[in-house]
Order: sequence, then C-alpha cells, then structure tokens
Amino acid sequence: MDMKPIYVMICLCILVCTGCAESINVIDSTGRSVSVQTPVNKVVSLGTGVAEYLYALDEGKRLVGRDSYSYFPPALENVTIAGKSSYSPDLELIIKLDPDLVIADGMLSEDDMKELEDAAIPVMIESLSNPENEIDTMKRIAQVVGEEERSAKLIGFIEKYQDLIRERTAGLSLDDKPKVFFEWAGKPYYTVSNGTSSDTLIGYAGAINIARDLGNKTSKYPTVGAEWVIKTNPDVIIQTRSSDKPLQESDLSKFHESIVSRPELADVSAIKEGRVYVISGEIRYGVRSVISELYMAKWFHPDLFKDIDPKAVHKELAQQFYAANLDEAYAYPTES
Amino acid sequence: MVNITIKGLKFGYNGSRILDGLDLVIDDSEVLGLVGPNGSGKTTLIKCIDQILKPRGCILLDGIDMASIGRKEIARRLGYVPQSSSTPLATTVFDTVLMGRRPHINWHVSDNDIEKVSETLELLDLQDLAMRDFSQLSGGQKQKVLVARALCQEPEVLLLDEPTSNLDMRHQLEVMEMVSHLVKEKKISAVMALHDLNLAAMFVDKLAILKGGKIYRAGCPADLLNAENIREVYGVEALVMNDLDRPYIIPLRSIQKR
Amino acid sequence: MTSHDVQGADARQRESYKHGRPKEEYQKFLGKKMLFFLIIILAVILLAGLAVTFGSANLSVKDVYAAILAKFLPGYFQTTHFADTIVWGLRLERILMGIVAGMGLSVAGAAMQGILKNPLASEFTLGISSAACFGAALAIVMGAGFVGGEYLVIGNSFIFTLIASFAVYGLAKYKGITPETMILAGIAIMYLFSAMTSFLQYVGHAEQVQEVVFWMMGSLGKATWEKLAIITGVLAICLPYLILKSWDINAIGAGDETAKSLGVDVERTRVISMILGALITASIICFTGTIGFIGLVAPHITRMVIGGDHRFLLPGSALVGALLLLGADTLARTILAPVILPVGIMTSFLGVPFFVYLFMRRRKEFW
Repeated sequence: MDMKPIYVMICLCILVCTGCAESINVIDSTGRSVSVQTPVNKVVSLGTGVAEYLYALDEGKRLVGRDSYSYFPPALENVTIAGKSSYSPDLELIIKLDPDLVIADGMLSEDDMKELEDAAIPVMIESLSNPENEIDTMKRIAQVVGEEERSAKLIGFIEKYQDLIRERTAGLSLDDKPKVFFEWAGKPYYTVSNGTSSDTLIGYAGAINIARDLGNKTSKYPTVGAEWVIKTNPDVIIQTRSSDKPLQESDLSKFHESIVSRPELADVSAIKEGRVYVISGEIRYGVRSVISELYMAKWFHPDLFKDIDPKAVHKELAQQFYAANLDEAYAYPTES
Repeated sequence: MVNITIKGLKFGYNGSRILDGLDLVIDDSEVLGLVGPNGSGKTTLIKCIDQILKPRGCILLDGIDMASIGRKEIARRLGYVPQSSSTPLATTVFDTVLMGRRPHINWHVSDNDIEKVSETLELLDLQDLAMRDFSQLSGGQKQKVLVARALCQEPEVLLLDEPTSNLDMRHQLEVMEMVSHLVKEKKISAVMALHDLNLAAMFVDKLAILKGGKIYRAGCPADLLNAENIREVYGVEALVMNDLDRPYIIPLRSIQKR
Repeated sequence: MTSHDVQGADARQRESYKHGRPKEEYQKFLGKKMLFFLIIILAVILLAGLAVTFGSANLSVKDVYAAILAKFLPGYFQTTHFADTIVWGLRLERILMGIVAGMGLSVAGAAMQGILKNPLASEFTLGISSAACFGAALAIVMGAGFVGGEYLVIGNSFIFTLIASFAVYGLAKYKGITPETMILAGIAIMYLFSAMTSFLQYVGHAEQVQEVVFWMMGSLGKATWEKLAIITGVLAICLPYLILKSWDINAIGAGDETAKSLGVDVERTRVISMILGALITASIICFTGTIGFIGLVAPHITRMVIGGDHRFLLPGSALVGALLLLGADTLARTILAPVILPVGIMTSFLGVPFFVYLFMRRRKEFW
C-alpha cells in the first residue's frame, strides 16, 4: 500500500493545527509591539469608546468585560464591568475572565499593565477619543480581532458622511466660518482649546473655536471670563454634557435653558439669534463622533446641509450596526 | 471690708481629693498667708474662693452664697493674681492691665477707665513699661503687672497664687512689699498662697497652714511657726530662730519614713 | 514700696521725659491703630476702583465710571447697555463679593483663633469647610439634599456646615469646652467629612467629580446681587455681636482662669463665637465654594501690625481680608486673561510665602 498520501495528510493536519494557534504582532497607538494569540475570542475593553466599537463589529460576541462609561448600546448592560475606567481596572476580575486581549487607553498605569502581561494577557493601548486618528485605530482593532470586513462597512458609513462634510465646507473662507463658544463638563465658561477632540470636531465641521489659542502646555481646558465671551461675541454656543446614564430630552432642555437665561449673555449674537445648542457627550467620541460632526455642521451651515438630518443618520447607524432603536435625546434643540 | 466664710469645702480632680472639708474665715483688712506642702490645696483653695473652680461646700461672701453671685459681680469684689509664668500674652502692658477693668465695662472704654489704668501703673512704678510687650518683661515685672491688673478691678480682696514662686530675691521682696503697702493704703485684704515660710513670716499678718486638704492651724505666724508644726506638716526637721522680730526657719533635714 | 524705690521712680520720671504719662502714650497707641484702619479702608476703595476697570471687554476708565455714575445720576452721565451689563452685571458684583466675603472669612477666622487661643485655627481646622464640601459633593453627585432646584448645592453646603459646627460643639461639650477639645473634635469632623467627600468623588462620574473639584477651588464668579444681599445681611447681624464680645475674647486670650476671674463666662463666649463664626463662614462658602487662607492670613497680618486687642483686631482683620481677597481675585482674573484662575488657588499661593515668613522670623512667639 502506498503510505505517502497518508503522511502528507498527517503533515498537512499538523501544519493546519499549528496554523490555528498562530499569533500576530501589532503596533498599538503608543508604538508598543504587542503579540496577540489569534483567534481572539474574548476581549476586555476599557478604552474610551472601544466597547461600543467592538459591539458594532460582532454584536458583542467577543466582549467579556467593559468599562462603566460604555453603556451604548443598551445590550452592553449584560457585559460585566471590569473597572470604572482604564484608571481603575479590577485586575483580579480581568484575570479571572481570562481574555485573549485587553484594550485600555492611556490612563492604564504601568503597574497594572505589567500585572496583566505577567498573567499572559496582552494589552493594547487604544482609544477612540481623538477624531484625528479614529479611523486608523478602528482599522487596527478590527485587524486584531479579525473583523476587517465588518469594520470596513462601518468605516465606510462613517467616512461617507465625513467626506460629505469636508466637501461642502472645503470652499469656505475664514469669514464664512462662524465663531463658536464651546462649553463643556457643565461648568460655566469652562472651554476647550486647540488640541482637544472637541476643538478638532469644530474645525472639521467648518467653524472656529474662539478659545482655540488659549490653551498652553499644562492645560487645554481653560476657564474664561464672561466678559471675554461677550466681547468676542460668538455666533454659536455649544455645550456638551455627559452622564453615566443616557440623557433625556428634558435634561438637555434644562441645560439649554441654563445657558440662554444667563443675564450677562443676553446681548451675544448666539443668544439673540437662537443659535445655542446642547450635545450629549455620548456621541462625542468613538464610532458616533461623526454624528456630532453632522449636528455641528448643520448648526454652523444650515444652508449647506439642508438635506441632511443628523437624527436620521444616527438612527440608521444604530439600526444597521447595533440593531438598536434610539429613544434618548442626543442634541437639543433639533427640528423634529 | 469684706467677710469670706468658708465651710466644709471639698474639691477633687479625677477621684483624688484636694480639699477635704476645709473651714476658714477671712475678715480683716490684712494679709493672710496660706502655706503648706505641695498638693495641700493652697492654689486650689484660692481658685475656689474666686469661683474659678466650682467646689462643693459653702463659701459665703458677706453672708451670701458665692455660687449664686454673678461672675461679673464677683470680679468686682475679688481680684485674682495668677502666677506670672502662666500667662502667654502678646499685648502691651497697658492693655493687659486694662483688662482688669472688664468687670466695670461692657464694650466702651471710658476715659475714666484709661485714667484708672494709668494711675495704677504709676502707683506700682510701671509707667515706663506701659507700652512694652508684656511677654518681654522679666518675671518680677510681669508679676507686678498682674497685680496692677487685679487692682484695676477695684476689688476688696486680692487673691494671689504663689506670686513669688519664680522670682529672684529682690523681686520677691518688692512684690511682697507692694502687696503689704496696698493692703494698708487701700484698706483691702489679701490672701496669698506662699511656699516660702520665711517670706510668709516676714509679711503676713495672719497665717493658715494647710495639710491634707484641711486647715491644720490658723493664727499668728509667731505662734504657728515652730519646729513641731513644721515637722508635722512638712515632714522636715527645722530650726526656728526667734531672735528677730519674726520667726526665721532654717531647714535641717527631711525626716526619713520608717 | 521702699523710699529708695520712690526716689528712683522720681528720677526715672524726670529722666525719661519723652515717656509721657501712660494715659497719653496709650492714646497715641490707639491713634496709630485708627490710622491703620484709615489706610486699609483707603486701600480697599482704591483697589476696588482699580479692579472695576480691569476686564476683557474694552471699556475705558471713563466708560466704566460713567456706567457706575449713570445709575445714580442718570441725567448727567451717558452709558451704553453693553457697559451697563459689564459693569453692573459682572464686575461690580464680583468686586463687592470679594470685599464682603473677605471681610466675613477674616472675622470668623480671627474670632476662632481668639477663642481657641490657637493661631492656626480656621474654618478648615474646625471641619467647617470639609462639611461644606461634602454638602456640595452630595448635591452634585447624588442629587440629594435639603433644598431642591437651583439651591441644591447652596442649601446643602450651608446646612452641612451648621451640622458640623453642632457636631464639634456636641463632642467638645462632652469633655468640656476647652480649646483642646474643640480642636480635636474639629479635626475629627474634618477627616470624617473629607473621607465622605472622597468617597463621593470616587463614586461619581468624571463630569461630576470635576464639578466638585471646581467647587472646592472657590470662585467669586457666580456672585449675584441677591447672594450679596444675603451675605451682607448675615454679616450685619453677626459682626457687631462679635465685636461686642471682643473684650471677652481678649480676656480668654489671657487664660481661661484669668478670664473667669475677670467675670467672663468662658464657655458661653466660646460657644457663641463659634456659632457666629460658623454662620458667617457657612453663608459665604455656600455661595463661593471653599476659599482658603483668608481666614488665616488676614488676622495674622493684622495682628502683626496692630496687636491682639480684638476690639481692633476683628474689624481690622475684616478690612485686611477684604483687601486680600479682592486683590487675589483681581490677580486671578487678569494674570492670564481671558483665562480665569480659581480664586481659591490664588489665596493658597498667598498662604505659602506667609508661612515661610512667619517661620523665618526671629521672634519666638507666633502669637
């Protein structure tokens, strides 16, 4: 009997088996080289906006642990909380969950990272809080977990609208770009400067953040005086608020009221022309930051984006990638 | 001229009795010296009389129970002079003495008050120190200032708690001389706790010896200061010389307990 | 006194002619204190007059004063709605709040230092500030409190301050109201509330924690005329009473026993002063957040210049405190304009050089 075919079969089988347990090397956002065993079946996500993204890729199949700030889509409630944020991970719990990969953001301490690596758990430092490198990060993560196809679909959706905004605002001169006063974290006159994600988004959406040059090496979140805002006379005022649970329309309208009722701002253009808006912090990061961009673009240049309804786009994204219905409010006021 | 009658006075801290049924009458314009070994209750007695401490028993001021007299009223009649080491003040001498007017004023300091302070300082020869910082004075000077303060209360009785304890020889004499002089001049009484028997012998008109929280004996210094009493109260073998106009005690040795 | 002394006294009196009678010297001494008052009052007015012209809106000095005067003499002075909004709606409120808050915090601090005979006593050491922080944190993180709506934070911080004061009083009374027991009780309360505030910060989410942190840094920016009226009202009631008690506080400084011998009800004075001090502090920091060091630094500076007589120290501290806080706030909002630094940070920076200076002094007493 000819044994050669059998030997070849055996060799092939061995090859296939070892091929199954291969590992890949990725360079994460900090330039570290991380070796990850594929296939990746269990992921703990602590990075800003990452859990939401991972869910979109595989309906949460791989997600075994998340940070407590990630609560969209609602289905994430069933995923164990492995730590409040990358700053305070529950190491014991994570090790017990035995994930193939942990994705955390820059707030993870060196010691915590070492503990995880000592337990043979690879750690990638990634975050979806910066609109400038969002897409690259998404691609990287998709590559590691092996969902490039699905990721491409999502990125395609996002880029479609991002490109649309870029196109339509490309021809705008400096004068055409409205002045925006951006207030965040709910503290009056606490604003953002150059180099923050909000400032970047404002730039993408075709406007100028009046506080962009006020930051310095130590702080990108200066507090300014009411007088200065009055003097600069912004055309639009935007406030963003976050919470650890979804915000309702009544919450947003209350925040809106607290801005327009400030007596000292009564004469500012933005107030007089009713161009004051509130955005929920939920859509400022990650996958849905494009929705913020759309809202802002429409507020800044209503005539250029008459045909776009950010709410509808948001609904579409949620349906297509999350099978979720949106019943909370994300921006106020909007034309319904 | 005031009468202070003390009956069955008891006082203790944390379960230990310091004054244990003490009786005493103070009623002459004179200098009364309280002597006794450490812990016999001299300081405590002074504080109880001024109602700084609240004892059990009875202290009558001109027949009225002192516990029922208001603080301010007491301050107008009894002037307390603490030991000079006990007050860590950083104010001027004038302001320190001015505080003695507190029982007489509510908030407004009248010209009369300032005049009184000025007079008292001059009387005690302290006028050059009026604007000096109290904490920078010597022990003797401080003690005099505290007496001045008590005087400004315009009291009928001065209560002095070991006024000579931290002073050198000269200042001891100065202070005792001052008190004697004041008692005669202003017709007030003075009750002084003293630890130095010889000083007591020199200056007091009447002596009360305390032992074990009670008055052991009270009377004339010449009668009380003898070797037997000293042995009994202080546990010290002493030689008492009577050649001078008042007794002089020379301690010889402490008595060994069997 | 011996004849020798009398002779000596005469001689000395003749020699030191420049030493007039004690009475005259004392009156000169008092005169100096009044002069100090005058100078500080002038300084405060000058600083206020200057500070009202500082700000991002480009208003000239003329415009600013026209806006101020137009309110009182509308016939003679013209002003724009813009200038009016800036001056009356923003700057004056802030400046007056600085003055009034500075006054209140300093007097409360001076009174507490007096009755506790401790130069480091302040609303911080007695746990009052920590309780106010906790109240604010409770409102911000949990949304729980005594008064609903926009007064949630304010009501909470005020009421918790009072709770803390009563707790300190209760604890101290158990062992006797002496400086030692009060300070120990105060420190215990302070740590308790600090721990609870930290816990709330741990539990809260990022935005809430930020709000708490900002509250703790203090700010005069949220001043309104209503708040000013409330604080001024509280001061108008409490300050005179405290000043009336200044004699007793002086006496307490000489020692509890001495004070009693001078007719002072020591315990009662201590308790009342503490309650008044707590009330004043509470009514200020519930609106401004915690502003540190004013209650510590102002009385010390005043004491160094005019001494420890509380009849003058209390009002003097008030003036110095107003000057310091107004100065700190004006610096805080102009140094990095248009960025505004929290005033609580500026006042903390004040404290450091002050303590270094105290530390370097040759004199042994700090009190």
